[in-house]
Amino acid sequence: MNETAGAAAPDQRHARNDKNQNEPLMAFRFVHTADIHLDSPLRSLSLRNRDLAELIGDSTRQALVAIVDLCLSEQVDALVIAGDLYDGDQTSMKTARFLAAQMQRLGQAGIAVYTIRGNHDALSRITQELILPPTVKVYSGRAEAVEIDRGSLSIAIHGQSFARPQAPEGLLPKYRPPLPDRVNIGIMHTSLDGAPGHDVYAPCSLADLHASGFDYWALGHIHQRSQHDGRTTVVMPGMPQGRDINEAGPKSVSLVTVHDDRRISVEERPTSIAEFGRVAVDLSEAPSWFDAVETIEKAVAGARARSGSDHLVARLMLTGRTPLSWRIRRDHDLLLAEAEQRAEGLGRTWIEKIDIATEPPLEAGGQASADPLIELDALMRDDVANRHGTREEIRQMVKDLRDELPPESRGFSGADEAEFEAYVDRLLAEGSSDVIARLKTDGAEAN
Amino acid sequence: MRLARLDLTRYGKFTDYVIDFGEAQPGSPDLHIVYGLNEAGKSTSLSAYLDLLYGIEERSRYNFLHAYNAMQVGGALEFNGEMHELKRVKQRTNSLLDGRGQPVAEAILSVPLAGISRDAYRTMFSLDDVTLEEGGNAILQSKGDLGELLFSASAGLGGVSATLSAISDEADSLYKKRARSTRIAELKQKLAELKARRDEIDTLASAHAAIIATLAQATTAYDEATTELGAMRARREAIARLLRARPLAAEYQRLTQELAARTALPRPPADWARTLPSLMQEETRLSTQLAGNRTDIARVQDEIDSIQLDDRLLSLSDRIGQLSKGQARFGSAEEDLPKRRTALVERQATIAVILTRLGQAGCEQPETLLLPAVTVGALRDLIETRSGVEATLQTATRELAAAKAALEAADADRQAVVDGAQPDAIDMSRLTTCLTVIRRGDHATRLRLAERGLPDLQRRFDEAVQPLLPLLDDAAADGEAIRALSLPDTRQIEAWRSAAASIDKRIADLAERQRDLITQQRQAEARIAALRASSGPIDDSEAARIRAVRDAAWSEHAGRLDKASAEAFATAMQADDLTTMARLAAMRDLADLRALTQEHAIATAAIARHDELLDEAAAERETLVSELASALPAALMQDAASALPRLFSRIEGVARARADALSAWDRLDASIRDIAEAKADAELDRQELAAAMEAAGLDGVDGSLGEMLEAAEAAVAGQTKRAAAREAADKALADRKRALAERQREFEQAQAASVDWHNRFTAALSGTWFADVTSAGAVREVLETLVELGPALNERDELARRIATMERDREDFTAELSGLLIEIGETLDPEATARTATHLAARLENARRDFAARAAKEAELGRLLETERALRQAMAVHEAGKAELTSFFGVETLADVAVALEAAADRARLEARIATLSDQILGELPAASIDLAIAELGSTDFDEIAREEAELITRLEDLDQRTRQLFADKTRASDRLEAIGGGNEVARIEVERRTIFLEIEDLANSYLRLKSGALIAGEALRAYRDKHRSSMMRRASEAFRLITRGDYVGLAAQPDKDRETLIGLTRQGGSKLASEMSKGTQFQLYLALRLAGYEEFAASRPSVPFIADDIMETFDEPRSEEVLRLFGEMAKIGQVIYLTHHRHLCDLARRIVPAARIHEIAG
Repeated sequence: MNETAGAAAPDQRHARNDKNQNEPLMAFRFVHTADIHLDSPLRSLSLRNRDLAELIGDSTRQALVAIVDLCLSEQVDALVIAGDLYDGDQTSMKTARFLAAQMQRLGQAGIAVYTIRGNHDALSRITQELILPPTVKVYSGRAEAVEIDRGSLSIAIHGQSFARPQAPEGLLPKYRPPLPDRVNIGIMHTSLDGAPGHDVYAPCSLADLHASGFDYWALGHIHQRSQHDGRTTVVMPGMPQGRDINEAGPKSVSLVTVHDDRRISVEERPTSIAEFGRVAVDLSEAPSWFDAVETIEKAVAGARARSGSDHLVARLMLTGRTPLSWRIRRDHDLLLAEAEQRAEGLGRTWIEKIDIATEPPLEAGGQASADPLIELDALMRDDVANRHGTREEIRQMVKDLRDELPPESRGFSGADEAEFEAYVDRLLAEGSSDVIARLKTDGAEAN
Repeated sequence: MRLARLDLTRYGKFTDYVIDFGEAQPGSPDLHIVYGLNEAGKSTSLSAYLDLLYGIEERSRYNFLHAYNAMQVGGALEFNGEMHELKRVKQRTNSLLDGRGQPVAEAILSVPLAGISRDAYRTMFSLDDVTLEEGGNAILQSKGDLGELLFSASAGLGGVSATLSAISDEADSLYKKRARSTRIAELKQKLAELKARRDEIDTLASAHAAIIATLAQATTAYDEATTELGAMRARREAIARLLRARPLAAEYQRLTQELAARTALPRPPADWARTLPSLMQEETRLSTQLAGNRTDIARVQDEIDSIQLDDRLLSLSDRIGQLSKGQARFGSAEEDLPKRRTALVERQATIAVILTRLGQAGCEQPETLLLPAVTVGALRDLIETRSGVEATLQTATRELAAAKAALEAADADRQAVVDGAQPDAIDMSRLTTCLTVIRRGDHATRLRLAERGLPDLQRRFDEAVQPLLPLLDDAAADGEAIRALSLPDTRQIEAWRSAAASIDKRIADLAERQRDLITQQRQAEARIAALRASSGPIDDSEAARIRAVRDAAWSEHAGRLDKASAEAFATAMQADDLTTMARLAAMRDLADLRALTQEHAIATAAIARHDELLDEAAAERETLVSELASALPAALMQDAASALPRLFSRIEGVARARADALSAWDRLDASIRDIAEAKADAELDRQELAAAMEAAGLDGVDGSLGEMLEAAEAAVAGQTKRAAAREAADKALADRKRALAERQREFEQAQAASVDWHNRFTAALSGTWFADVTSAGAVREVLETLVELGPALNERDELARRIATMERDREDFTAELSGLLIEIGETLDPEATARTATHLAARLENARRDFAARAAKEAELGRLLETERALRQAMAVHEAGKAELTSFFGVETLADVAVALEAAADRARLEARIATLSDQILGELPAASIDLAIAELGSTDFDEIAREEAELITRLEDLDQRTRQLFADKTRASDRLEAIGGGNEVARIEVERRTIFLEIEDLANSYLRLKSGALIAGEALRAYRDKHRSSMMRRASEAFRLITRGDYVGLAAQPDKDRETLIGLTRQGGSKLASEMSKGTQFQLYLALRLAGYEEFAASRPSVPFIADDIMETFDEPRSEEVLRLFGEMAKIGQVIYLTHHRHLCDLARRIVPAARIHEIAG
C-alpha cells in the first residue's frame, strides 16, 4: 500500500496479521453498509411491551455489532460505510463511544474502515467530538482516493464527505477520475434520482454512475436495498436495521469480493435483528371470532416463516367482507390482545398494531337496507359530516388537543392544510363507523 | 312478507312438527297466539323461523337431537303476492331450497326482508320482556330526547343513550383539558420523568469537549512536575552513593596492607581441607577392623572341628523316608483284620435266611433268583390299581340301585300334584291387572296431602281476608264476596291522585299568591300614609278639596265683595297657593302617591279575585271528594276529605289486600277441589275392583276398598303358589330320569375295567420263576423279599475283597524293614516291627541335623577370610594418599597437615573480602578502576555534600506532594471521560420516550375519533328526529291514547334549547315529561313508540311478521288487554305472532281481538 497526494490512508500495520505472510495476496474483500443510524430509536407501539423493548430496543447497536462480527468471521480487508452513522439530532457521547469501541475491534483485527459523512453526520454535533482509531479513514469534504497494492491487484478507494447537511447539487463531477490499471471503488452518499421518503441529497443518475469508469459504487442514503449491475456495479445496501413500519422488510449489508481478474461479486448478508412487516389478513372466510383469530395466527405464522430476522414485528391489515366487521371495530383492543397472545405462541413474533379495513357483508341482491342503523349511518356520513358547523367544531377540537401535546406527538393531524382536512375527513368517517359498530354490537348482544 | 306455515322438520327437539298459521283474512287482524307450556319449544320456534330466513347459525345449539347435517326447517312464506315453499338445511352454500329441494338464491328473500340483517330483525321485529324492560330504561336514560326515542323505537335498540354516554366517558378517560388523571396526562408526566433521568446519566457532545480540554491541561502539568522530580531524585541518589562508599574505601586500604605480609605459605589444592578429616577417620577404622576379624576366624575353625557325621545312615535316607507310608497301612491292618472277618461270616448268614424265605434254601447261585426291573415295575403297578378297580365296581353297583328307587319316588310325587284342583286362570288375570292399576293410583296420597295442607291454607286465607272484613257486607268472607268487592283500578286511582294533587297544589299556590297580594296592599297603604305625613296635603283629593274651598270663597266674595269675604277668599287663596306650591315642590312624591294609590287598588281587586278562585278550587275539591265517596265503599272514606293522599294509599293497600286474599282463596279452593277429586277417584277404583272380583268368582265384594283389595290379593297369591308347585314336580321327575341313565353308564364302565385288570396280571406273571403263584398278595411278598437279596449279595463280595488287600500290605512292609536293617548291619525283631521302624526314622533325623550344622560353619569361615583380604587392600590405598599430604607440607602426621591447611584458608578469606570491597566501591561510584575511585573519594568535600543533601530532602517532599496532586487532577479528568462509556442506557430511554410519543399520538387519535363520533351521532339523531317526527309522532300519539285507554290524549314534542323532549298530554289537559311517568306508563309509551316504528317501516315497504315473546308476564289483566288491543292494531298492518305459556292470555286475546287465532304447541 502506498499513499497518494493528500490522502491519509488508515493505519494497516496489523493488516492480515492472522494470515500467512508468505501466501500470495488474493482477492480484495470488503463489507459495504450505510445508514446505520446508530441509537436512533425504533418507532413502534409494540415497544410498549417491556419484554420486546428489552430484546430489540437497541437493535441498531446489535446490527452494528453483527456487521463487525461478519467482518471478523469473513476476515475481510475493509469495511466501507457510505454515510449516516447516526441521526443528526443525536447528542449523546455514549453513542459515539460505542461506535468507537466497535471500530476499535476492527482495528485490532487489522481491518480498515473507509467512511464518508452523510447528511445526518454533517448535522451531528457528536461528529466533531468523535475520536476514532487510526485504522478508520474518514474522507474529508474534498475528493480523495486511497490506493492499496496487493501484488497483482491494485485498488483505489475514492470518497468525499459533506460538511453541510444539504447537498442540492450532484457530487459525481467532483470525484477524481478513475485511476488507470486499478480497481476503482467510489463511496458516495446520494439520493440518486430521488426516492420517496428521502430528501434530495447529492442527486445523480444511474446512467452517470455506469458511465463514470468506476468498478464499484458503494452508495448510501436510501434505506431500501437496491443493486444495479451494468458496466459498474452500483449498490445501495439499504440500512442494516429498519426502525419502523415504513422501513419494513429484512435489512442487510453487502459482502463484496474483487477477484484477481477484477471481476466483482456481491453477496447480500442479513443484519436486521428485528424486521417490521405488514401482514395482510383476509377475513372473508372467517365467520366467527374464533375463526378470525385462527386466520390471523395462520397469516402471522406464514409471515414469521418467510422472515429471516430474529424478531418479526407485524402490523396486521385486516380486509375482506365479514359479519364480524362491526365487532372487530368495537373490540379491536381485544383482538389485538388475542393476536399478541397467538404471536407470542409462535415465538419471536410481535404485533404492533391492527389496521382495520374490513367491511360488513353486502346484503343479498344489493337491496337498500331498511335498518334504521344504516339510515343513521347514512345521515352521519352524508348529512352531518358535510355540515360546515360540525366540521368546524371538529377542526377546533383537533387543534385544541394538538396544542396540548408534546411536539413529537403532533404528527397525526398532518403537515399541511390538505393533510389536516384529510385527517378531519378520516375522523368523521371513522368516528361514524365506531359509533355504528357500538350501537350494532351492543344491540345484538342485548338480544 | 307473511309466515303461513313453519315446518320444524328436524330442529331442536322437534321432528316433522308443523305450525300452520293459515292464510291471511282480508280486513281482519292477522294476530296469532302460539301457546305452549314452558320448554314446549316456543323459543325454538322463534329461532327456527329466523334460521329459515337467514340460515342455520354456524354454532347452532339446536343440534342435540338432530345432528348438524340432518337439521332442516321449512315453511310457507307469502310475499310478492305469491306463496313460496322454502326449506333451509345446514350447509355453507346452497342452504336455501325450494319445495322440491332445489337450491334457491338467497336474494329471493332480500326484497321481502327489506335488506334487514338477522340482528336487525331481532331488534326491530321481535320483543320480549328484557327488551321491554330496556325500552323503559331507555326512556329514562334518554331524558325524553325525542330523537333518541324515535330511533330506539324504530331500531328496537334500548342502549342508545348508554352507548353514547359510554363513548363520552371513554373519551374523557383519555384526555380532558387540565385534568391530571387522564391517560395522556399520565404519559406526559412519564415523559418528563424520562427526560430528567436521561439528563442525569447522559453526557452531551458539548460537555465532552470540556472534559477533553481539562484532561490535556492536567496531563501537561503532571508531565512537567514528574520530570523535575526525577532530576532531583537522581542527584540525591549520587550523594547517597558517595556517603556509602567512604567507609568501604577505608577498610579496603587496611586489608590490602595486611595481605602483603602473608605471601610465603604454599597454596594447597582447595579440596584438601575437606578431605583431611575423612582421611584421619579412615586410618583409625581400618586398623580396628583388621584386629577383630582375625579373632573371629580362629573361633569358627574350632567349632567345625567339633562336629562328627553318621555317613551310612545318611546314604539310606530316601528308603527310610519311604518306609513311613507302609508303616501307617501296617498299623491299621493289624487293627481291622479280625473285625472284617467276623462281618463276612454275618453276611453269609443273612443271605441264607433270605433264600429260606423265598423257598429256595440251599440255592447255589442266589443271583439267578433276581428279576428284571421291568417285570417288577409292571407287577407292582397292577397290584396297586387292583383295589381301586374293585372299589369302583362296587360303588357303581350301589348307586345304580339307589337311582332306580329315586325315579320311582319322583314319579309318585308328581302324580300327587297333578291330581290337585285347578281354578280358572283367565279371570285371575283381569283381577291382577285391576290390582296393578289401583296400586299405581295416587289418589290416597293426594287426599292425604290435600287434607294435611287444608288447615294451613284456611288459616292463610283467614289472615289475608282480615283487612278486608270491614268492607265486606256480611260474614260470608269467601272468594265470591271478595271478587265482588269493587275497587277502582290503578289507573283511576292514578287519575284521582293526579287530580287531587293538582287541586291541592292550586289551592296552595293561590293561597301563597293571596298572601303576597295582601302584603303588597298593606305595603302600599303604609307608603301612602308615610308620603302624606311627610309632604302634607298634596294628594289630588286634598288639593281638589282646597281648590274647591278657594272657589267657594271666590264665589262668596264675588257675590258679596266685602272685607270679610275678601279675607276669607285671601285665606282660601293662600291655602290653595300653598298647596299648589307644595305639590309643585313634591312633584315626585305626588307621582309616587298616584302610583301607590293605583297599586293599592289593583291589589285589592286581585285579592278579591283570588278569594273567588280559592272558593272555586275548594268547590272542585269538594266535587272530587264526593266523586270519591260515591265510587268508594263508605268504610274507606272515613276522614278522607282532609287528607286525600292518605286515602289513596289506603285504597292501594286495600287493593293489595284484595289481591292477596283472592290468591289465598284460589289456593284454598283448589285444595278443597283436590280432596273431592281424590275421593271420587277412590270410588271409581272400588267399583272396578268389585267387577273384577265377581268375574273371578270371589266373595267379599261388599266390603271397603281395603278389605276387597286384601281378598283379591289373597286369591291371586293362592293361584300363583299352586302353579309353582306343579312346575317344581315336573322338574324333579325329569332330573331323576337323567340321573338314572348316568348311573347305568358308570356301572358298565366299572365292570369292563375289572376284567381288563385280571388279563394284564396273568400276562405279567408268566415270565417269572414264580409264575404259578396267582395271589396278588403272595406276589407282592415275593417281590418285597427279592428287594433285600440284591444288596446282601453285594455287601458279602465287598468284604471278601477288602480282607485280601490288607493281608498283602502287611507282608510288603515287613519285608522292606528287614532289608534296611540288614544294610546297616542289624536284624529285625519280628515282635517289634513297628517300634523298630519308628526308631530308625529318629536316628536318620539326628544324622541330617549334624550334617547341616557343619556346612553352615564352613560357609562362615569362608566369608571371614574374604573380609580380611579386602581390609588389607584398603589399608594399602590409604597409606598412599596420606603420603601425598605429608610430603607436600614436609610433615609426618595428618595432624600436622591440618595445622598447615588452616593457615592457608585464613589468607584466602582476606583476599575475598578485599575483592568484595572493591566491587562495592565501584558499584557506588562511576569510576573506571578501584584506584581512581579511591582517589576520587579522597578529593571529595564531604561537608559540602551533607549540606546539599539536607536541602534536597526538603525540596523533594514539596515536589512529591505537588506531583501527586497533579496526578489526581489528571486521573479525575480521565475518569470522567471513561465514565461516559458506550452503554445503551440513554438509547433505551430514547426508545421508551419515542414509544410514549407514539402512544400519545395513538390515544389522541382514539380520543378524537370518540369525540367526533359522539358529536356527529348526536346530530344525526336530531336529523333522524326531524325526518321521522311528523309521521311517527302521529302514530305513537294515537297508540299511546289507545293503550292508556284515554288517560293520555296523546303525545307532543316540547322544544328545549337544541333538543326536543317528548311529553304526554293527560286527559285533564296537563302534560307530563316521559321521565316523570310511572314505570307502567313508560312501558306503555315504549310499546306505543315501537308500534309507531313498525308502522313507519310498514308504511313504505311490505310488512314482515312481528314476534313477541311473553312480554305480559308481569302485567295485570287490564294492561294485558290493552297490549293485546295494541297488537290487534299492529296486526291490521302486518302479521303479529305472540308466544305465551299463559292459557288465560289465549282467552283474553279471543275476547279483545275476536279474529285472533290460537296455535298450541304440544309439549
